Amino acid sequence: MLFSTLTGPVSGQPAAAPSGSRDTALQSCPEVNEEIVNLEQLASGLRETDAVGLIEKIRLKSSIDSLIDRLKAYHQGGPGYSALELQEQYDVLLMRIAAHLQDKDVILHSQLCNAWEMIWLDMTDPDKFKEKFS
Amino acid sequence: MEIRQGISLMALMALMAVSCTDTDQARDHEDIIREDLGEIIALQDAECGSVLSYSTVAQLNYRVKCESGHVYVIHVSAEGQVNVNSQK
Repeated sequence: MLFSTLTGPVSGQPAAAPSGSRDTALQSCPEVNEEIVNLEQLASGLRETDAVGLIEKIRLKSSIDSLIDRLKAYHQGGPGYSALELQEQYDVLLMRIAAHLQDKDVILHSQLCNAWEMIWLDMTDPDKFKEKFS
Repeated sequence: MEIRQGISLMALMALMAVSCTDTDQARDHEDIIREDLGEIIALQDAECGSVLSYSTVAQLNYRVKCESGHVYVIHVSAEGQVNVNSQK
């Protein structure tokens, strides 16, 4: 599914189940008036929200930056994590962010739910990634 | 004297930054996942300590064994809610 857009070597076997086994997760995200479509918009929403404390915002930013660094290494073809491992790291980081937002910032949480796969696709597009993060 | 201390502090910070970068690059994939799953459990004020191991039930669905002896299932619902359910 998602990783069909990725090119390059895939090494190792991550703990992630095949992407077709997502089950019912994210299948009924609440409707939103304004969608977010990339990581920058999510990061901006996280900066503005009152649902996450300052220390945790810094920790989340650090985790997001680390993931970007790992993806950068992947796109540059260097040694590092496989595509499936990176997808799992992305998914679990977004689970962590969603756990912060749910019940506290319903709008941003709903936007995150709707954008979950879209952001990943954006991050795995080599040209878009290079344009944004190089 | 103050300048020397300043330079030493900057050198120490630079060293720490390099160390952090190296540590992150060397981190095992499973360590990264374990840490984030542990954070999610802690957010629910559930007892865990560190995460000893996890298994993937499906995408966005994990079974986690904690240092405390607790076992949790963490999964994302259709509406995007992250649920942590104790199995003990």
